[in-house]
Amino acid sequence: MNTFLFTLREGLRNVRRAPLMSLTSVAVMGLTLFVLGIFLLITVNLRNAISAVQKQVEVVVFVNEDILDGELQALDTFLREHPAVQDVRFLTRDDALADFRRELKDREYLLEAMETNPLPDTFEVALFDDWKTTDRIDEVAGLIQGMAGVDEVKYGKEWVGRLNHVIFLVVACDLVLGVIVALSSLVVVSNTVKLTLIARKDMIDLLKMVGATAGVIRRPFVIEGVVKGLLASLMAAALLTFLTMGLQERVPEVVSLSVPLLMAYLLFGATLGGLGSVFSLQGFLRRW
Amino acid sequence: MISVSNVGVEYRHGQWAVRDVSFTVQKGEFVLLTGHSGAGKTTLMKLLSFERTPTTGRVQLEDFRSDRIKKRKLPFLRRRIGPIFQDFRLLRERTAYENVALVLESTGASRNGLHRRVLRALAQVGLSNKVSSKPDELSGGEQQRVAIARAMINDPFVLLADEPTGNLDEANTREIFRLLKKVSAGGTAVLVATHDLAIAAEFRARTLVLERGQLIEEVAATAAPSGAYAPPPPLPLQQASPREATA
Repeated sequence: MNTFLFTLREGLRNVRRAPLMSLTSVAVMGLTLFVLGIFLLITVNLRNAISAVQKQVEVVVFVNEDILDGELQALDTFLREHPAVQDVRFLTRDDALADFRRELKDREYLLEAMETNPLPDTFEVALFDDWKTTDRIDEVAGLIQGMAGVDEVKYGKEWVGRLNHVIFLVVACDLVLGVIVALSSLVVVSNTVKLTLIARKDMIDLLKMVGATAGVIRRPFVIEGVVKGLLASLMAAALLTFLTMGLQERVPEVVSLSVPLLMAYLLFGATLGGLGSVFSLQGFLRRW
Repeated sequence: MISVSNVGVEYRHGQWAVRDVSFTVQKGEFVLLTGHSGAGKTTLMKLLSFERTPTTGRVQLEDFRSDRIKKRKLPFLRRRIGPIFQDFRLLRERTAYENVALVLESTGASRNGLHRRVLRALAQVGLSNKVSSKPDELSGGEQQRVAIARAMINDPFVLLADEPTGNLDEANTREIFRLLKKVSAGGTAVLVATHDLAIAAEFRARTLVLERGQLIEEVAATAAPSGAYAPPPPLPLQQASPREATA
C-alpha cells in the first residue's frame, strides 16, 4: 500500500516534471496514433462499402410455367427455411412484368409488340453476407436447382467470384497494413518513452542502489506511459473527429468511428504507452 | 559482519582488476580503502554492494552471500547498505527532505514516523535548517551531508562511500570524514574508498592498501601506514595540490 501510493504519486509527478519533454512525447505518440486512426477510419469505411456491395448479391429463381401448386409451396418453404436465406420475395409473372415496365420508363412502347407475358414467376432470394461466397452460393443454388418446378437459378456467378477476390485482396492488404502501422506505433512510442527514461537514468540507478524492487521502479514509469498514452490518444481522437467531419461535408457516405471503437482506440493508446514503458525499462532493469 | 574471502575479478583473459583479496569488517568499524587510481578500489566497492559478481572467491554481508544470492533478493541486501558517491547523486529537482525520504518511500517503509525519521537524519548531519533546500542551493559539503543522511536513513549495516570527498575542498573533506567516523561510532560499519593517504593518516583508521588489485598492506586503527603505499609523484609540469604537498 505504501509503495502503491509512492508509485502513483511518482508516476503523476513524472508527467508534470519536464513539461516540454512530456508535451513532445505526447505529441509524437498522438501523431502516431492519429496515423493508426486514419487507417482505422479507412478500414471501417472500406468494410462498409464492401457490405453495401455484398447486399446487392442475390439469387433469382425462375419457376417453370407448368409448376404445380404443391411444388411452388414446397419451393417457397424450402427457401424460407434454409439457414443461408435472409429474405425471400416472390414475384408473379405479372409483378415481374410491372417491374420491368417501371424499369423501361419512357421506352415502355417496346413491350407493346409482345402479345403474351414472356416472364416467368420468380423468387428473389437475399442471402446472409457470410453465404455470399462462390462456393456457398453454388451449394445453395445447386439445391434450389434440384427442386421440382425450378427452371433456372441465376446469381451472377462470375461477378460474385470477382467481388470475393477483390474483397479478399482488400481485407488482406488492410490486415497487413494494420499490423505494420500497429508495430510502427509500438516502436515509435517505445522509443519516445525510452528518451524520457534516459533522462531519468540517475533516478532509476539510485532507486536500485537504495533497495527499491524492480516493481517499485517500474510502476511510476508505467503509470506515466499510460497517462501519456491516454492523452495522446485523446488528442488523436480529436484530430480524427475533425478529419471525419471535414470528409463528411464533401462525401456524406463517409462513416465515423463508432463510440465503442473510439473507446477501444483510447484504451489502445493507454495500453501502448504502458507497454512502451515496460519494454523500454527492460534494458534498464536487466542489470542490478 | 562483512567477509571478503579470496576475491578476484578477471576483466579480460588473464587480467585481474582485483585478485585474491581477503578481509573482514565488523559492526561499527571505520575502515579506509586506499590505493592509486586503478588499484581496484571501485571494483572492490562494487563487489561489496553486489553490483559485480566475483570471478573467484566470495563476498558475504550478514546472511547475503555473493555465490548464492538470487536476483530478487538484491533489493533486500541493498537496504542493508548505505551507498555514498563522489558525485552525491542527489535528485536536483527535489529538496533535501525529499531526497532523503525517497529511500523510505521507495522501500515501502511505514508512513508512520517517516517525517520524524527524515528530520532526525538531516539533524544528525547538521542540516536541520536546509530541509527545504534543493541541491543547487547547497554547497558541495552540504550536498554530501544530505547524501550521508540518505544513506543512513534505513539504518543500514554498512555505509559504502566511494571517494566521498573527491569533489570537496580540504575543510569539507575533514568535516565529512568526521561525520562518517561519528556514524561508525553509532554502530554502523563504514568503509571509505579514498586515494587520499593524508586523510587516512590523520584519522588513524584501519586502512586497507590496494595496489594492482591486490591487498598489499593492512594498517591497524591506531598506527600510521608504513609507507609501502606512497602517493603518486606529481606529473611533470603539474603543480602539486596543497593537500599533496602536506601529505
